[in-house]
Amino acid sequence: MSLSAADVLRIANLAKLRLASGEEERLREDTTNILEFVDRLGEAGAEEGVAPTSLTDGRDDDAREGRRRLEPDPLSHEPGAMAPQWEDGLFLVPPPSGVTPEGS
Amino acid sequence: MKSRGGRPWLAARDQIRASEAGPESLNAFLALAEDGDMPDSVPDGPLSGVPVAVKDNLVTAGLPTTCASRLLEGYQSPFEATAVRRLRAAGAVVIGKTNMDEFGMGSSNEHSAFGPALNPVDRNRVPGGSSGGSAAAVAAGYVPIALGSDTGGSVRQPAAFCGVVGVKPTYGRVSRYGLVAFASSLDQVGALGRTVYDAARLLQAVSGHDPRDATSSTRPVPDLRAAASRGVGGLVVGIPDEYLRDGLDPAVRRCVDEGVEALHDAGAEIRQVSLPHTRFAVPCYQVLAAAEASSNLARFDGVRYGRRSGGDGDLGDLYEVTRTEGFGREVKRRIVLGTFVLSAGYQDRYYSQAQRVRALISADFGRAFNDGVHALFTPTTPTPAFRLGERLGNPVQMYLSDVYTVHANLSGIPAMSVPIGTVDGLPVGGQIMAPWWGEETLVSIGATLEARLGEGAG
Repeated sequence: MSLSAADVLRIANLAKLRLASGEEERLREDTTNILEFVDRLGEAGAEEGVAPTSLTDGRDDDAREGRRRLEPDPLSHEPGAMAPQWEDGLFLVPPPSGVTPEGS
Repeated sequence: MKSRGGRPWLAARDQIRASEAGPESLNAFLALAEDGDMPDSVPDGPLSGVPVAVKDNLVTAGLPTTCASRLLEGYQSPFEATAVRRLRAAGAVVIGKTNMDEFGMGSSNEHSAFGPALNPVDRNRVPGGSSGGSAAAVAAGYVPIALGSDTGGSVRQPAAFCGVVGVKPTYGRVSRYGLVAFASSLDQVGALGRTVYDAARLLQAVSGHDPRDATSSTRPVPDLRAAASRGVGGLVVGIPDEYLRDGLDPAVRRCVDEGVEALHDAGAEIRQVSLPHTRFAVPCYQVLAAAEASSNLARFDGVRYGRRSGGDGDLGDLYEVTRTEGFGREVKRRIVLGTFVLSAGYQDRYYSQAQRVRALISADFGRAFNDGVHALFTPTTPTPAFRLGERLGNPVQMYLSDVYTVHANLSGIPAMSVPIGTVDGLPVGGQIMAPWWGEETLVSIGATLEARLGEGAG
């Protein structure tokens, strides 16, 4: 599987990343090499009758015992202390593209 | 050790600070505890007064948590990881946060935004990754035990490179609450120690159910310390042929053969086994780990945590500039790969296919263990620690550093690396893998290998 420059730009856009000049080509090469490497998964014989899994074997069935509502841990400081901008209990961010904030 | 006002851990911290400021610095720590971060006294417990280092992707109250990323530089968590809380309850003193590959993505520590940690055995070589700082700190004698995390070998591979013991428990044995997620279905908190016993007592202290992590198990935690003196008589140890083929350094192979002989001499039955899907594990892991990472790291957008850049234009600008400036090269590479394999038109070919192969790899282990094998013994890594810069330009070659370790993460089984010899003065690790919840078996076999092959053996 070989990626084109357009593929890389499309993916970077989906991933909310901007690529500097030169970075795009390097990522294209690296990702193409990695995809060629992972293409060997097609030889594993996994197509017929094998269900995909995102869990591991050996799991306990009781892992869902989470119905009791847990009180959150007491925080050592307000979430605002870890946020770049915080006011009146809200995270402050610029408006989405094309939206004019009220009152401005 | 000089006691300062009855707080000997201050002297331990001072020693580390002096060593790390000197010409032999290992860059093992990203933050050291200040006097005010450390307690006046500690509770009586199995780790009373023991200084412990914590990997910088476990959130800590008092010390910053950066995951070795510019994106989280200076980030201070408002709560503490369950594993760290349990350490403190057991009497341990957190002495500092250790260097790592950014967000756990790497096998050499060279992907830290704050420079690589160095291998104390040879400072021109990598300590392994991603828990390289924790392994270096233990190997250098800074601390007897350290916490790491293991998504594809990130505790065991650096333990092997630095000549210490590293254990990844069964998925669900230790709470992941407060572990900054890289790949949630693969991540586990792990333990590093100078000896098998030390690693076992650290793992014992942090294990057990936590209602704050729905994937943590309610199974009782066995007495791992007692398992260290149990021996290997009556155990059947499987040797998978697929781990001993091309790519394995012949000198490492000789160490593994000596390990097999030591286990046989100690009373274990040795049996050849086959795990036919072994060679698909690294590509399977790369797809799944990248996919999960691209999803988990979406939360780092400049709104809630750490760094914010840009945003003069609009919200999209803020997201993109923050992430572009905050993430390093390897993290971007994995996010791009993960986003691609989850994107329309490619999800079945890559992501779903990798999930199917994961089932096959896991079934290989199930068959071996159901056939009466109590544990498997393999090399931890195909070579000893490589030189700084040697593999940075070739991501696929770097990923193959984990060629023997990712299987345990994909299948969720516990695994341990224990020193089994040296090659040209560089440590070599042997890996033990046990069935799900079989940590006691790891400790028994690890302690036997340590007694017969470790420093001072014979």
